[in-house]
Amino acid sequence: MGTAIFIQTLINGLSLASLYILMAIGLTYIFSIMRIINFAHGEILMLGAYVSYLLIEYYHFHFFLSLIFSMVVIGLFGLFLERYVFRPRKGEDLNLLVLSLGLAITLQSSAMLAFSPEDRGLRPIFTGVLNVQDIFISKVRLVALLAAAICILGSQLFLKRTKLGIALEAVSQDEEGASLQGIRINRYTALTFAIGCALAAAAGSLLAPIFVVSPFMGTLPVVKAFIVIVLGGLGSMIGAMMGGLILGLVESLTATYLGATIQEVSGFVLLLLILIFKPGGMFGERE
Amino acid sequence: MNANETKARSVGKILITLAAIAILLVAVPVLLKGQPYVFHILIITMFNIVLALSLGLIMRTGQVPLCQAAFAGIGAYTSTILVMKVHLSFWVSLPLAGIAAGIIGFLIGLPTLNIKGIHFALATFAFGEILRLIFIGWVSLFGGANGISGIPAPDPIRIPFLFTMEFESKSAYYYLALILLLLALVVFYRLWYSPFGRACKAIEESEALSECTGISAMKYKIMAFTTATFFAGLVGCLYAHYAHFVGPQEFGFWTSVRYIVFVIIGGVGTYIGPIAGAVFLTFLPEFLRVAEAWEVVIYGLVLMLTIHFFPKGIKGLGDDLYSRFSKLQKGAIT
Amino acid sequence: MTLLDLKRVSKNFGGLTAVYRLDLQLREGEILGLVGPNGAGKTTVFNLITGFITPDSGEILWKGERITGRKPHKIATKGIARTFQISTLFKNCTVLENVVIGHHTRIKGGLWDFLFRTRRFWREESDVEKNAEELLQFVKLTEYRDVLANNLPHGHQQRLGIAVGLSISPALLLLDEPFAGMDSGETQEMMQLVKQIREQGTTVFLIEHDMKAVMGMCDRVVVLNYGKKLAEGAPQEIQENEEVIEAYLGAQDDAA
Repeated sequence: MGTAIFIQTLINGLSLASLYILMAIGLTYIFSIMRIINFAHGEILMLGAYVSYLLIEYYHFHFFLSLIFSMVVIGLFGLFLERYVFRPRKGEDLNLLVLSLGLAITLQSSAMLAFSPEDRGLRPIFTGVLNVQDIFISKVRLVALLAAAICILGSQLFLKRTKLGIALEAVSQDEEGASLQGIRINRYTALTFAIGCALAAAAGSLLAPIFVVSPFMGTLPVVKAFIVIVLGGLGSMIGAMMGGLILGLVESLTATYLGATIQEVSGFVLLLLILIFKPGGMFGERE
Repeated sequence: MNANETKARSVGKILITLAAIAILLVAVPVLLKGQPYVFHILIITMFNIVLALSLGLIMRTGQVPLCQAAFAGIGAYTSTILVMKVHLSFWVSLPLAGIAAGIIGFLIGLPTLNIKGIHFALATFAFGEILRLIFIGWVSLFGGANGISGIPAPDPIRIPFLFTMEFESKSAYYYLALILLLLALVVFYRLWYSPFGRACKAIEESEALSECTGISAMKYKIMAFTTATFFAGLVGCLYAHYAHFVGPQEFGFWTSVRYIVFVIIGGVGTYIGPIAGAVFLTFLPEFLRVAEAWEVVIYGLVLMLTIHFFPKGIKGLGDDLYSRFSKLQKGAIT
Repeated sequence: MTLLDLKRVSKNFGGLTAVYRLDLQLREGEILGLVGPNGAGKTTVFNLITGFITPDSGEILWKGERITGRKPHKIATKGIARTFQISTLFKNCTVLENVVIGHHTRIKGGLWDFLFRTRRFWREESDVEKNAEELLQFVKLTEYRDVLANNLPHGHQQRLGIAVGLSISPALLLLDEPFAGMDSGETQEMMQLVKQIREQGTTVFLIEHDMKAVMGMCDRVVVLNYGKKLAEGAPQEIQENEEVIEAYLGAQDDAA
């Protein structure tokens, strides 16, 4: 019995981790090119969830189709945001902070107006549990884990294997050098932001069937994502993945074995210690 | 401008400030008699100005902390516990609250202030969150998620043959907040426009060069940080005894972010910016109430539009208008 | 008398040796030049002296006192000033403000004076401003006093950097490539300035690539290559030293 619980906890942890990683990777994309911490990332996740919700509930889209649709729609929205909200103030760190905060406030309250503040439940899609040798795995979490893993893999392959992705990495490492080589920085900034938003939308769409859809659903995940990217090191994709894995597992384990409050504190204590002793995080950039 | 001009300007400023003080002291409470809600807004605005000013001093050294609200919380809870459990007088617990916040600020600043940029911000974020969780978790001392209510008003001030001030109505708190505000205005002004303030600016511009001129970056960062957290503690204490309630949600991350926004919208790197930002953003929601459900949406849009059109904040806008105005003046003369 | 004494100072970065067992003495009142191919470790020597880096081994003595590993601001108060290769200034401050900030340690008043605006506060503010103006006159930047440092032309930025350094009334001024990017007219002016600084009683230690400037100004020259002292002596001797010539030619080959 003990092992079964342990494995269940592990899988829940992985499922949680995969969603954290999805968020964190999106934030890392955005941070590495635009050098801003996107406070509105949670609200982007929320919008992605609502898009999926609407498509499934009112247009009877298939779950995976709505996931892709949501990513595309929100990605396009991201292009708009980058061009008209953030680009005019490019390089002004504190101003960008306020912009992203203002955006978060605007999006959240607009959602409250448009959709009412209540939680909405998604009609059950992947109900039930798999029973594998006394280990109960919730189907919906498994699907989330797999879908997230695909997105994550996709985003990393994109960075490493495609021309576009490699150029993106070049720009994030050395913007001046890249622009001297003729790379059109603004295009890549826009693309990066769009990808970051699309990944957030994916996380939202995958969260929707597990929890509820509400205008406030993005606040907690974004805080967690911040912890992840700091743990892993700002700007590092591997860091985001390792950080997400660690946080997801730690949270799941402490929740099962130590109780909820300890779980919350543990994340922050971990964070503070890492920041004091290794400010760059595990795989952080050199200052 | 040379030192003699500075001195003359200073005298002029003192006179203007005294006049303003007289107005604030006498006219406002008389005009507003019977309108407790307006008093409330003014009191909160004054608290916010002090918090924004203190934050502005830290940011002058180039660091952006995300935990100023947590320090207000330390002041609030310290005073609450000292008054309700140790039975001290408010007038004793007030300075102690500030000192507690200052000491913890010093202890937190020591290991973190040599970290720069975003990592410092995140470290302070973590600290603030841990503190919040302690407030929630340690129920016996801090009352947990429900906080502590029934916090008594400050003891009445009795000066024989002169007057007695009881803290029953809002106007009494108004005076108390006003005194703190005036103290903060003077202290931060004099620090800002002094070798101390110059050293802080130098550290932000170039830590390396500052060190080469004999300025210890760490020393000034810690002094600025400790002074700021001390004042945050004072505000927290006043707030607790004004609202008669403290709870962990008031002193969390998003509140700290609000204060940062006050400074940025007002104009970073200026003395008056935080003041303008705090006033503007505390009054704004009141004016937006008419919009009901749209209030928050518009607030968010105002933040974005202000930064979009006025990247230097309200102070920047003011400077712009002033220089255009004086250009017009000059044009008019010729 | 020997002002600065480096005894077998070494510094490694990762596996790379930046400075190797360097022995160097600086005599009061001289203008000492430090030359060598790029990457020879010259700026590292300055960083070691001023406390930005700590040596792995060896000692640095200032007027007989150990300053190895002390913090930069402490070393500055002992009377060593420096400029930086890439002009490092308080960019968003005016020229005058830059020099006023430089005078910070000359202000004896503390928080009490600032908060209560005592007579001492006003007196010191006025003194500092006067001194700063005089210094600006000395480096011939008076007409730029209200210009933001960021908006100064390059050569003037160098002079401002020197003025900031001189603000602490140093016994020793370290100049890191003060002639970089100057035309011959500016170079002459700078040479004049450096000589005047020495006449006022400040010893000068400078890193430079411009050979004409070095020959025209320095009493002695130390040559560094790959972190090691290659040669030392009067400019004339150095110019004729075969090892030195080879080191520079070799460096040119590498660069080609």
